[in-house]
Amino acid sequence: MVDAAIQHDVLVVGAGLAGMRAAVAAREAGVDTAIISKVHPMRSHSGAAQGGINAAVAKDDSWENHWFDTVKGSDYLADQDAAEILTRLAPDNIRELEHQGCLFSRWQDGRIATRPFGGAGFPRTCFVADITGHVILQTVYEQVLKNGVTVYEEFFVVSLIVEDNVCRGVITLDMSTGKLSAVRAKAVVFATGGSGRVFYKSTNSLISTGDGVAIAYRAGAPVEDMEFIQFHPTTLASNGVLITEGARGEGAYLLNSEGDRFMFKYAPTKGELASRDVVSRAEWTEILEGRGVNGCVLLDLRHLCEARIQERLPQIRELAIDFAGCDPVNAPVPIKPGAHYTMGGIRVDKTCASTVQGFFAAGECSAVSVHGANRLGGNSILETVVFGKIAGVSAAQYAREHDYASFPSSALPDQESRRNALFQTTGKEKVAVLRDAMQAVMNEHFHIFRNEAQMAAGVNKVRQLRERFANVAINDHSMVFNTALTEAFELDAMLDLAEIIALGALARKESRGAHARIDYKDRDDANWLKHTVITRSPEGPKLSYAPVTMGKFQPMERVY
Amino acid sequence: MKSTFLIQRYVPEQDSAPHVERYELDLWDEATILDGLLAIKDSQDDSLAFRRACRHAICGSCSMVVNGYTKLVCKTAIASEVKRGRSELKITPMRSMKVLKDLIVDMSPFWKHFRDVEPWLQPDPAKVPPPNEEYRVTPQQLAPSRKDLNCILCAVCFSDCGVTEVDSHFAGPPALAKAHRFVTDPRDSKRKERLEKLVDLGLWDCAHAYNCMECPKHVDPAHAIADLRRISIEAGITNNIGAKHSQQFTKSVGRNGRLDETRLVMELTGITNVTGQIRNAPQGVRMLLKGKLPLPMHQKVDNPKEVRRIFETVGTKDEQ
Ligand SMILES: Cc1cc2nc3c(=O)[nH]c(=O)nc-3n(C[C@H](O)[C@H](O)[C@H](O)COP(=O)(O)OP(=O)(O)OC[C@H]3O[C@@H](n4cnc5c(N)ncnc54)[C@H](O)[C@@H]3O)c2cc1C
Ligand code: SF4
Repeated sequence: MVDAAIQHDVLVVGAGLAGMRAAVAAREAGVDTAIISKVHPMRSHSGAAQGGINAAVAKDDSWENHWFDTVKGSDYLADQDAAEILTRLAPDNIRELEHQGCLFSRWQDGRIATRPFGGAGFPRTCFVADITGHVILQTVYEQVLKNGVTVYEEFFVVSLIVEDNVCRGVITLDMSTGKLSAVRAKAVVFATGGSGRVFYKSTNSLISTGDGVAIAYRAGAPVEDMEFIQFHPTTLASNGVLITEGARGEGAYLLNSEGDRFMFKYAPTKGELASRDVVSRAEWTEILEGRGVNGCVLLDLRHLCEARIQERLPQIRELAIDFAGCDPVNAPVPIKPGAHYTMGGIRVDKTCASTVQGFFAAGECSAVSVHGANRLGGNSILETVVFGKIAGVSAAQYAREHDYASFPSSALPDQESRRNALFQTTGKEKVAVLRDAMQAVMNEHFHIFRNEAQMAAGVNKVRQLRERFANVAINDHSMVFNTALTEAFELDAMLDLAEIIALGALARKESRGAHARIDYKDRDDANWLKHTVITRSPEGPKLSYAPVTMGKFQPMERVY
Repeated sequence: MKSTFLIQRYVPEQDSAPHVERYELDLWDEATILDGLLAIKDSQDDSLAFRRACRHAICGSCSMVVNGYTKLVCKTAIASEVKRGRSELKITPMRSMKVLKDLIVDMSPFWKHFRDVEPWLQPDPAKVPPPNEEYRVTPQQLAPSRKDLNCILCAVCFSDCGVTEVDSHFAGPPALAKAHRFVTDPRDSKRKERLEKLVDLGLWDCAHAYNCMECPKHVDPAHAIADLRRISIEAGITNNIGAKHSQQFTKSVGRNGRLDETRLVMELTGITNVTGQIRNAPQGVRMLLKGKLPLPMHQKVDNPKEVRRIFETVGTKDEQ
């Protein structure tokens, strides 16, 4: 057993919305709580959420309708009990944020306003102009400060310590000194965000590298449904930056090269506001069939007029001007689908507990599972606040009932040798080269439309990249802010995830939600209404399947 | 498009002082400065250290000084510097904060100022609505803090501010904009306490250099500071040198059409404060001898009535 310099009852890894909500909840439950994050909390990717957060706050809406929309959106792969918790608790969670200070946009009468979003039967997306995530992140960070939660900023977690299926803590790298150290905890919550950077030109932050999912997987926690990657319908061609669904919610059109509003061909009722998987496939079909404009389709906001664009979508306007050289007030914006959201993640139950004792997960890195095969826009930051809080409460309770578990003596030296190997290797491979290659492989072989041969080839390519990673060398051997080293750790994690995504996708012989196969075009409930579960084994990733928790809603054909 | 980056490098374990390294790039026309830095890190030198995350101006990580001005580099095109006539991009870390490595600075003083304004809502517990209801806040009531909400805490303005540079006690523009966001929030109950504390945190120390006007998110902290000053005077928080200065200044210009500096100092000290006046006297004499103190005569402008009319018009506008 080693002495840990730092120990806390509850240790939350990740300072996005899910992590900070968890930490505040645990702190309020009266246990000693700390957060570790590889960036300052306000730099977390949650701040990028633009369009809004769903909740049936309007008088003539109901959480049951939201529940149904969520399950339908998931193509019936969500666990209905988890989706029930999400939608039932949504309105009170929104009002709690409001009471804490979040300045939601309002109707004239002073109530919280809502806007329409894709896949929803009612305008139930609450928002703060087009900076919703940014303002909620401020609010939650304010609560962290108010409650005096300890935050270890710019500490990079490199491994999760589990022995005999009991979680004991983590090993972290203090980025400012290069010191690796053990942190003990009675309970650990991972809220490490998505894995978008596995793909090319993702909408995600450069830091959304899925470290937490890979670290948990390596420590023995199973991961679920990772093959379901959401491609967002409206991203800028130049750099993958997102244009919120809120733009279509406010009334923007999607046009092809012939000037047609093509969405009604694919979704006769909802048109542009169909579910994201549906819209992305429609766009891609238009592009493949030759009705694209330089590999894009057009998002037209002009008819909304300048005043409304400026009031509701000011950030979007500026992003389009900065990165696409086009002012949406005067010209349609060229956009295309881009990798955006990881539906799968660390497999947890309704209390956010994983199968490893004392180890919990919430937010985009987890699969509770409320998104199933396709998440609805506005349901993700909702998940972070609802389940972030639940995870904090669960972890606090676990910490109260258990003591610190001993820390295996090899845990720290193992990570020191891992770093030394990257320093000392004589290999000729470069992190950036392998990362670019991985992203290209994933976009080419596991894109919006998938097929057997292409995916099988993709699996091999990913494995070759993993072999090449053994020869990676980094030039920077400094201890202070060695970002070459942390980027190598991130790539190491992403290569694990690429393989997991690839294997899950190849095995699933049906089309469901975001996983669309041209060789198995239909959803196959008889054989595939089940979660993919992947566990690490000495022989490599081991696939198994778990039942979906059904309930009130029986699978129906999904039309929008 | 070809460009040259001259980057200040500093690795504490190796270097006794920072030095500059030169990198040649050939990137696409729309590339941002951040794209340039990423390209250098990927293909020329993996040891270059800088912060970055979202790459689209919402996380506030990548602020640094480019050819003398602090910029959020993900939002600044290389071409825009070239257009400004800079063939080379000189990139150095932000100012007023200690350099830790290359372009990474220690932001802890910045975050301390932020925490000092108690940046969380402090409502009256008796007025918090039940869990199934929100506070009623109209769009008009939201308007005053709308720009403050845009702040991404990037510290661009903090680095370019002339006052933060010389006075480490000054809270700085973003912390004050954050305070403004709460002071103007109709749900907050600690307005007066906040304003009183802000006086100690430097509310009146801003010297109106307006360097913070270059905010990449259009927050306009200078306006937030001016508005806080106005609100604090309205709230009767005038027993401090800043508020008194502002009030006497206005009075003096209103009376004479121009500033009577001698009288301003006397009034600020307190006309009946004999010891204070005596203490100021030697300074006054020295200034007089150097020709820096206007004589008490000829203080009025030619037509002070005109100036008074401006005051009256502005006064009535304010009330409308
Ligand atoms: C551009 C964009 C717009 C979006 N808009 C919306 C929207 O309008 N509505 C909606 O519902 N959803 C939206 N989403 C999705 C939503 O923003 C995310 O799913 C959600 O914010 C994820 O939050 P999180 O707390 O799980 O993770 P994040 O906010 O990503 O936080 C992850 C945290 O983990 C930390 N971390 C990660 N790895 C490590 C490590 N190894 N060591 C230490 N710390 C680590 C990071 O520092 C960070 O603090 C959007 C996503 C994108 C990309
Ligand atoms: S006010 Fe503007 S420049 Fe200053 S920290 Fe905020 S966003 Fe950055």
